[in-house]
Amino acid sequence: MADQARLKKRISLKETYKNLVPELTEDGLVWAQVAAALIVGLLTLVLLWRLLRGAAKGRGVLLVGLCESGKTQLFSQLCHGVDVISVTSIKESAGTYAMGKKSLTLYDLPGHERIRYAAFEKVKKFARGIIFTVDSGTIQKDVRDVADFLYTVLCDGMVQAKVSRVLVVCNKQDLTLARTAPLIQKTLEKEINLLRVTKASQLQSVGEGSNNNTFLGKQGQDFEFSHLGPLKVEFVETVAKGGENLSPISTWLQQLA
Amino acid sequence: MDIYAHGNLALKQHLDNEFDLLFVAVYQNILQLSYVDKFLSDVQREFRERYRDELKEGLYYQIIAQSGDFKDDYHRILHAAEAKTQLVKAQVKKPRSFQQSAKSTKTVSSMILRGGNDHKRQQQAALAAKKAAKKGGKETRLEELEVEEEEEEEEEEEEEEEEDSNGMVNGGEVEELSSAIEGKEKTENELDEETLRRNREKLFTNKRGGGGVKTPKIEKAKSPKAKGKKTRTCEWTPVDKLSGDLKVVLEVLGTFEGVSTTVRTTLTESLVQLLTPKRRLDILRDVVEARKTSRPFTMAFCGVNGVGKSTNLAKITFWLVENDFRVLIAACDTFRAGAVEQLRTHMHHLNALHPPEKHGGLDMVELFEQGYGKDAAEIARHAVEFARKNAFDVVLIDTAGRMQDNEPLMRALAKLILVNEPDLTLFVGEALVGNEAVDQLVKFNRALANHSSSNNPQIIDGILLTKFDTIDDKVGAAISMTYITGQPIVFVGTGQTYTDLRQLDAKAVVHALMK
Repeated sequence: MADQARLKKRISLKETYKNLVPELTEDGLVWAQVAAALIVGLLTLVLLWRLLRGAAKGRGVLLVGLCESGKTQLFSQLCHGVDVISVTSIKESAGTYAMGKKSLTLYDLPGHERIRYAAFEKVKKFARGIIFTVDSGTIQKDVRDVADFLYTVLCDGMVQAKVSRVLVVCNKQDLTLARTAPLIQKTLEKEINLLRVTKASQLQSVGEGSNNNTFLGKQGQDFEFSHLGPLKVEFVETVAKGGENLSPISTWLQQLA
Repeated sequence: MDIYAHGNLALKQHLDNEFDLLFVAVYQNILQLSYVDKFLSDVQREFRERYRDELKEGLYYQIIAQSGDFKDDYHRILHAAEAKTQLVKAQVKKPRSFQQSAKSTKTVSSMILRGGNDHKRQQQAALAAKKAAKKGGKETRLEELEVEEEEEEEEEEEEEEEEDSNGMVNGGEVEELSSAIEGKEKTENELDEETLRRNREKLFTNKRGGGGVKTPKIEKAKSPKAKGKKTRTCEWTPVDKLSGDLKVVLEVLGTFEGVSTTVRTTLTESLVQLLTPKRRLDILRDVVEARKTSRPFTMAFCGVNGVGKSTNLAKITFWLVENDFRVLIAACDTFRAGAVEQLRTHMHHLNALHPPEKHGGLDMVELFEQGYGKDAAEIARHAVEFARKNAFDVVLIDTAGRMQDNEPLMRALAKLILVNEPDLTLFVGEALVGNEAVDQLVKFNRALANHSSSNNPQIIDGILLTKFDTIDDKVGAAISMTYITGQPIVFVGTGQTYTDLRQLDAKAVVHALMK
């Protein structure tokens, strides 16, 4: 009844008011008030819920990886569609990746050992997904460093809570000695399997700071990326330079948004 | 501004605080370019003027897209700078003529020494007259009769002349440099004023902004912290670097940020960054890698006397044995009485903790010794050889303690490192002694570099900080040591028992320091 009254009110205020005046008894007024209060309350709840959820989930995608693995190149290709002559980053940069109505914020993090964790700490709370770039040409030589960084990223508490998907981009596939994605996956799995052991028997750190005791994968089994449970790790091959072969990454980003 | 040299290239940089811009000039090292400073600041100014709006919005990619436009400006500024240098070079200074010098204005009477005997005075007068007649020429040195006053004058003049000739030799570089420096300072001042003015405008237009903290405020905020550092025994060099960092941040401080909180966070950030290792530190992983290639992983310990080399070596041995690695201890301290026996005691203790029955009948720890008085490098070489044959995973080389100024011993250490090429050369330093440890570390590093005959000498690549439990939160030495060498603190010794070995957590340590 209250709703009807509202509808009519819009049509012609004066007439409806006149019509309604006799109907507005004590009883009707109370009901109308209750209904209005209910509607307003529900609306506020819905809005609040959406707001909180949006904030909790974050709309950021972090671009991480070692130095010279093509993060900045990929970033400028995805966000601005241009090739850049990049130097080692000393600061993180952010850009918007728009797809129709939705958009994601990409964060390009520096890869140097000294600053990468500081930058990572700064933006990890916005993370929804992580793109981990790997130089396919030098993976054989750098596998220990790559795996160490990937391991640290995957073990991070915030990442485990918020990030649902990780994309390992095997970049620089145009090199003659580039490894294929499945091969890189296998190498990394083997390496992380070993890292789990050595990291667990690391010395305790000085001060009250506790060691991160997250165990990746399943106990008693060789490590595989599929064991990570809610965290989905995928591998794609690409050449960031030139930006022709970026479709797997954009599909992944679309699924993520 | 420092010049960073890489190969035959020289790099000079200029930082723009407000927009986080870095201007770098790269040129052939062999060219002694005197205008680089001025050129950089000119480029900075023009670049800021030109792309101010884009920079404010952070639209860097727009700038990249149209950066071709700046090329012309760049060339123009470069040409201007070069032309100016040429101009200065062209104005080669000639020595002044006598008429221009101060001496020509002097009267004869002023040169007369009062109170001297008549004869002398006459002679002087005659000489002075002769000299005045000999105009334009450089006066010859007068010997006995020269009046003191005049002598002084002459010396001054000579000095001046020397300077001038120097100027000539370097192509007027002195001149150019000083003017360049002046120019730079001027532009900086201008810029500061400009920022202030702009901020003031902002303040009046929309009631916010007004950042620019005035210098006294910066000084005030900076000084107590710097003083605090000093009492916490930290070298000045890192403090300078840190205050530089602070200044960079404070100069672009916004309205709603408090100075003290910003100082605190910036300081924490830069300290953490300073203590963060530059490379991956996972010794266990590296040992596994070495085992794969069937060679032992070697670690050498060096340091001055009594800092705890042997004790911490035993702790590391314990940690490695706990992780199922077989360890060979090479007793290369062939100097101090009882050094070998001390290690043997440790070996017995550790073998008792991990009896051979549990590990397939193999002793987990063994001692390699050849008595006293032998050459340490040889013993270490034999030890590595022995380890390779007997399937040991790790060789720990214990060296004799030596003072950093003892050259023969440092030479011996350099030889040991050169012959054995350890995977990790640890410098063992006491946290207790503060800056003394920094001096030791620097000298050890230099000695290893100087006494090595190889082109690419192996220097200290890790630090073991001992007696860390004795200093509560004074980690100044840690900060100085990592800052000066750039090498990470691999282990921290925190007590007397085998388990008192830790690794450094930069964040926790800095947190303790900042409390």
